[in-house]
Amino acid sequence: MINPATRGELGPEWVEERKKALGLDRPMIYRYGIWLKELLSGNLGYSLVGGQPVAEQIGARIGPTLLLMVSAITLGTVIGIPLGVYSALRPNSWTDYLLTIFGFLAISTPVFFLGLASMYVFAVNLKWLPTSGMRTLGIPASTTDLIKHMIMPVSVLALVHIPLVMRYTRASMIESFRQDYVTTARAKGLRERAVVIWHAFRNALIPLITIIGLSLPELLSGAVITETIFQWPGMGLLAMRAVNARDYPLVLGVILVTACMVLISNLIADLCYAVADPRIRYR
Amino acid sequence: MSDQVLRETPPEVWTRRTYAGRGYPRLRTFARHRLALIGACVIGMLALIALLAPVIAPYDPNEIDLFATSQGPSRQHLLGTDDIGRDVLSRVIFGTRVSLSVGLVSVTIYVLIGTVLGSLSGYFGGWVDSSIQRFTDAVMCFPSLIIIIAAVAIVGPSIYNVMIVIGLLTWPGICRLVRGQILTLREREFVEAARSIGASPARVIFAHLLPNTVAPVTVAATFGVAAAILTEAGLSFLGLGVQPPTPSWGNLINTAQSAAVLQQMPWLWIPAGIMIALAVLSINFIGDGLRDALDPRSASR
Repeated sequence: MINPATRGELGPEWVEERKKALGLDRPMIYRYGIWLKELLSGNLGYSLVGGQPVAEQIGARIGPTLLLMVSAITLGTVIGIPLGVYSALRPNSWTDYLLTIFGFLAISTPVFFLGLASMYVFAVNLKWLPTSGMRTLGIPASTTDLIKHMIMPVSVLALVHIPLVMRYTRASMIESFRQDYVTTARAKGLRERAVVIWHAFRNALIPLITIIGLSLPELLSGAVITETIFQWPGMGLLAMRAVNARDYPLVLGVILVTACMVLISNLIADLCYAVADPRIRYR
Repeated sequence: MSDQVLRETPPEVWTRRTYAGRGYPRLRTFARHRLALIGACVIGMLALIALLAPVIAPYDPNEIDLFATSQGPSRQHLLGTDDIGRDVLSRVIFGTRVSLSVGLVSVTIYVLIGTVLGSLSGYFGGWVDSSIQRFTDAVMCFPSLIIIIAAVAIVGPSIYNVMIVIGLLTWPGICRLVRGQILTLREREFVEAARSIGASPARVIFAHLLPNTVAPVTVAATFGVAAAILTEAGLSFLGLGVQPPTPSWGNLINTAQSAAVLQQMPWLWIPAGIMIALAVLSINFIGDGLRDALDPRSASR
């Protein structure tokens, strides 16, 4: 903001002038009051670096991040649930054991190492996928191009999500199998497939919804790193740029918006309970 | 949630290990304990490497050798050298110190905060409980890495600030855990007995309640060390953690953000990545083994 090389030449009057222009001459509590008041009318302030409205910058970045998150959660859940159910059907078998080890490996490897390693293998050496960004420059935007750019970041994020879903599916499925209604369902001669899907899994859903809802903050954290590696133009990359430039209004805005995203995801999880379990009613 | 479910099932259910009696329960338990043992050995070795770093490392990690820059692995430099000729193996060895100490110190900080807040919340209940819990909710709704990045950017990136910031922002999990334990424990007879002979709240909490929460807190703290190491590595990777020239596993990988290093100098970033995964995996195995050993109710998970 203030270039130290020119600050000497411009003198203290200039610094005072800038302070006044930015409102820094007022007490902190007063500035916070202004920020809150403007927030109510949807104004998140202005970037210190470019002077653009913060809300506008975040608005442009929120779409790509949501695309990344939703795809990763969907992929992780779609892969994680069957693996968890499979483990629960054969607890303590070699497959169960191998899946557990895979889960530990996936949560122990840092996201950025997974990202760089996959970039090294699939983009640099094999040249199957583009290294970074969201679109190829110079060619018309197309869905195939977008999907090609999405494969690596989405897979890396999903790989962090799979073990979580898998472990909780396994635990709550095993829990369900112990319940009397499963024995009843078996006793009345239902096919095993029906017992697993309609009786056991249906009841294992509630803890799963909680876990998927609660994993969003962690996934958003992962997205910062993933977006930085793959130069994905989302909020994570914006957050990094804001932090590196010490652009506080932008940092504040990003934190506020991500916290809201977490709260909204908790709300969605709560609403999903009612769908999964008819006994739960909200009034 | 599923912890809750496990806790609420009657005890006789826990002994029925597997559904339909299939599988090899002993194989799994044995294998898990063996994994925990291997994990403990690996961590023991890493701790030794960290302590003896100056003795083991073949070179000074910050020694610049301009006649040997960007070299691949060779007999003189087992893991090659970086762009200003520093020995990568020595830097990885010294990085062990940073990662392990950040993990231990930040977890110590947040276990202290979480335990104190959690026990106050669980023991006193009422407005103390609700205000602490609302505060916990507020901290929990921020994605941890984003708020940590912002905090580190404000106080300035350094190894000590990273420890403190991780410690100050990741206690809600422990707080919830301790509160839950205390809530069930405080209704038991031994607490009533202690109170009836006139023990002060501090004495009841520290002498009677907290010793009973040691097992689950130890398990959570072990997984916490693994998570803290990952967080430090992520921060250093983003350039907001431990600052060069001090080597850390995270900032060694930071160099791979440039395409040239990623492509042509894999010896710079692959070893550090493997070390992080190895350390975190071992600690997670230990945590899993401890959970089996200390909390028999969750053994079948």
